[in-house]
Amino acid sequence: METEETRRRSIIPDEIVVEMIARLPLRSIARFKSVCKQWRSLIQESSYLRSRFISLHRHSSSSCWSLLFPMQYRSPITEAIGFHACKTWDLPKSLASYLITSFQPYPNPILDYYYYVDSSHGLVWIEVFIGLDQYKSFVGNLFTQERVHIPPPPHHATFPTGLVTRLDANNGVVSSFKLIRTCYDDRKERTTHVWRRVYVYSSETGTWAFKRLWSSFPLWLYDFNNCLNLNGMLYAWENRLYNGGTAPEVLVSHDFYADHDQCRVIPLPVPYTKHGRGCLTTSCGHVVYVEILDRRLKVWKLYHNYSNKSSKLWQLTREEVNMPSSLAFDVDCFPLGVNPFDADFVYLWSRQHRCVVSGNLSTQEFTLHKDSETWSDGEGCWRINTSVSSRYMDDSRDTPRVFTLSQFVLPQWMDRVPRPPN
Amino acid sequence: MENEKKMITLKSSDDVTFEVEEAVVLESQFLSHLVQDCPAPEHKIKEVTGKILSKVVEYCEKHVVVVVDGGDSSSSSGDDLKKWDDKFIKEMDLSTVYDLIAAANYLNIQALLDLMCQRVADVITACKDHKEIRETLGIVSDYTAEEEAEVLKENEWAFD
Repeated sequence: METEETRRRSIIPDEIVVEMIARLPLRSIARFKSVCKQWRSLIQESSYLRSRFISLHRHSSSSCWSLLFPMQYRSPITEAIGFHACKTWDLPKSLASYLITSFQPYPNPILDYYYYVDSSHGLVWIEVFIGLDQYKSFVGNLFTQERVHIPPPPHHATFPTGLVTRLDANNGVVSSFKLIRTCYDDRKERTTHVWRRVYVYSSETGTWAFKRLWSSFPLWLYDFNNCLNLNGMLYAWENRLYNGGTAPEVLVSHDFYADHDQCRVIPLPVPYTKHGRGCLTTSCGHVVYVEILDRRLKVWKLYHNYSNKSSKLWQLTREEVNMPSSLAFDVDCFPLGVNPFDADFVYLWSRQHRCVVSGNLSTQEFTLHKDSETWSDGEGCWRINTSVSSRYMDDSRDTPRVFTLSQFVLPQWMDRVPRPPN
Repeated sequence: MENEKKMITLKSSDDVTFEVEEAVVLESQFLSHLVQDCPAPEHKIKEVTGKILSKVVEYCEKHVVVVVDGGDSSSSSGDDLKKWDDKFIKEMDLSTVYDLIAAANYLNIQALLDLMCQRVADVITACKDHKEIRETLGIVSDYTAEEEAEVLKENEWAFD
């Protein structure tokens, strides 16, 4: 009887292990890979455990996320706002700190400059500079510790632009990713119908392909604006070309999983004014545009079915919000982003107060964060980095009218990185 | 409501019998279907021993009574039920917990499964490392020292 008991206990049936560990946060689950081989293989391979975990955590309203400033030459990874220690992941530190430590030991460069380029569904694109004009590109998952080394593109003069992913329609696992690098010499063609000339690396082929992205309107491409990724597409804010000068701004997008090379040119939700300050971001699966003009803040989301020309493209998420006059917000208040899981929470930079401001649009409360702050509530742990943000915001003399920060949002499970064919 | 209560007999793998009200049986999705599809007075459950089935019956009886009686005073009876649940699991050793998880899984009693799994989840969360988890759950590691070091290194981020 005794030995029977011991034998039975030393191997716990798979379905029971799944039921036990699917209730824990992912950080704990990752620790349990070291218990025994059965547990590790379940955690890494079992789609049943994955779906059980997602179903048991479906009431957790959000996952960990971080809003990161675009990369700049020789400047560290800069996180404006972050949310961690959520019920799904239970991370004790902000996502930015994992970005730095996870890629640190690799590949032991001479000059260790790490650039966060973009992320999508938990995959991260990091560039490691190893010398003058020499870099290595990696796409990885910080939490499965997988990294795919991406070979250099055939054309040298390109810069990293964006990462897009495609999900398996049945289970939401990332089935493929693409990296986009833009050619520098686009500037020669800056008043044409070509939005960008890009090299696209696909994890499905393991190779780079050249693509010229056509726009239906001539664009004024003075600078390369930062891109935002959502559902396999990149979005960027651009100026239209009109009578030889710049005309109202537009949103330009391209679907990198479509088999054509046309861009979509989407008009703004409101007439262009140069004093309006905006940001382009995403929340709950929508592209979101926030604008502050004359102390009024508005948030729009882009409809998914915007291909239909007659239909409305943008929808106000709520009535416009009057900014409190006590805070004296004016044209020097820049929207930075919104909460990826709730577009009622906005984050701004006040140049006058030199600090991050968080706003709750449903209660119309705005809070100044004079110093960097970390605090916890029932949902998780928040981090607002006023000091590093000020370094970024003070540095950018030529502050854009519309900001595009990168959202690094963790998915609901530790999925593997799709491997390109060898 | 003086309806005559319909009684059903459950028989464990080792032939221990339990006579329970139909309402108790309905706590289990598996048994509800069984009772509906096959109106025999006695049902043999080959996968569950008498020791474990008695626990299952005890749990289901308690939960049925509270749900039926506690219609209007649900908050206090909810608290009572929680206390009862706590006591119920506290008295149990881990091997019984496993068997009960397996039984709840098989009989499809979601609330019991949740309760038991949460208990084990709490126990393993309290463990400081993988060695303590193994000891607590009686798991024998099949890693070589090198393999173990490698897995630990891969998941260093989770141990901070």
